[in-house]
Amino acid sequence: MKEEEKIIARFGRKGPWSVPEGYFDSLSQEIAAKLPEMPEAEKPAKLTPWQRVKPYAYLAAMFAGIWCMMQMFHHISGVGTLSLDNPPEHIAALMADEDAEVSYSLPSAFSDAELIEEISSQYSDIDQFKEDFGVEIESKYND
Amino acid sequence: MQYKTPIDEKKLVADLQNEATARSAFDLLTRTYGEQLYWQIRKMVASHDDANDLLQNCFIKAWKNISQFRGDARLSTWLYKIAVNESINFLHKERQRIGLTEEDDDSFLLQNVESDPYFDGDELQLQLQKAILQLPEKQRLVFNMKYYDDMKYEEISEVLGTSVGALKASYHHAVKKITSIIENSEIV
Repeated sequence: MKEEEKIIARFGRKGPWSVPEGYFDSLSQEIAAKLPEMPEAEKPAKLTPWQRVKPYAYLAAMFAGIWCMMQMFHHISGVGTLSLDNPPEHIAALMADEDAEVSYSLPSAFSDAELIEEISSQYSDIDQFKEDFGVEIESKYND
Repeated sequence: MQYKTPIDEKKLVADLQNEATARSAFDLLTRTYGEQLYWQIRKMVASHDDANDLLQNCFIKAWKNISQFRGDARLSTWLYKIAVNESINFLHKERQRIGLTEEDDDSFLLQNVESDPYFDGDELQLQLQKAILQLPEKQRLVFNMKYYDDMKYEEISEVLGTSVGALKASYHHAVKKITSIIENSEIV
């Protein structure tokens, strides 16, 4: 910065001030003499039982409010009763029973009939089908 | 900030917050930082007497609030902040006392500079001080910290809570303004 260099060259960096002789030597003593008693560190205020419970009470009230609101919207919209597909107690019982069998029914994009129809419409030659799928078909099915 | 002597700040803070060692630790604190804080204040308020009063207030405030010092910033930064606040509050009160507004610069301090028995400058130095006093308050603070104390922008940023970019711009404007004021005064 050219301007800064000009100022430094002309005026220098040393301030034009001084202090009374011995000022800094006696400074700490002078300050020490003026210090009051050491203030006690602020202790955290003791909380009443209600103050301790208050945040949880507010949280519970908030959830209750949301639940009431959902019930009201549900009632207004006129949809059937609310239900859970997997009530927690059923899940808990199932998890506790080691012998319980869980069956899954996965949705499939094609039904078996649709798949057969799809394949048979694409293949007129059984040898081509065998080559594409890498399968051997018993000779009794060849005809 | 340039420490005169390297000190273990963590230990010093622990000693300051312990009733048994607080006074001797505070003595070390005033010896270590007293001079640099004094010059910071002096450059802002001009007169030695005012600077002395403000420095003592600054240390008394530090003493009263040392139990709340959590060590998020360095102790020296914390003290610098107190010193800067003390100086600015003093200047605001002075402006009010003599009927100036917040927008007015600190040229009213020129009288303090000229009448201060501890001002050692010649005409040339007085010319520079006149120019510095015409800067807006924050620019003047930044200029003093950078020009006289050679503080790094990062350190000034911690004390003033301003971004480094803004401080660079502020210093740049301050230097330009001072150059312009000095050049104009010489033409006249």
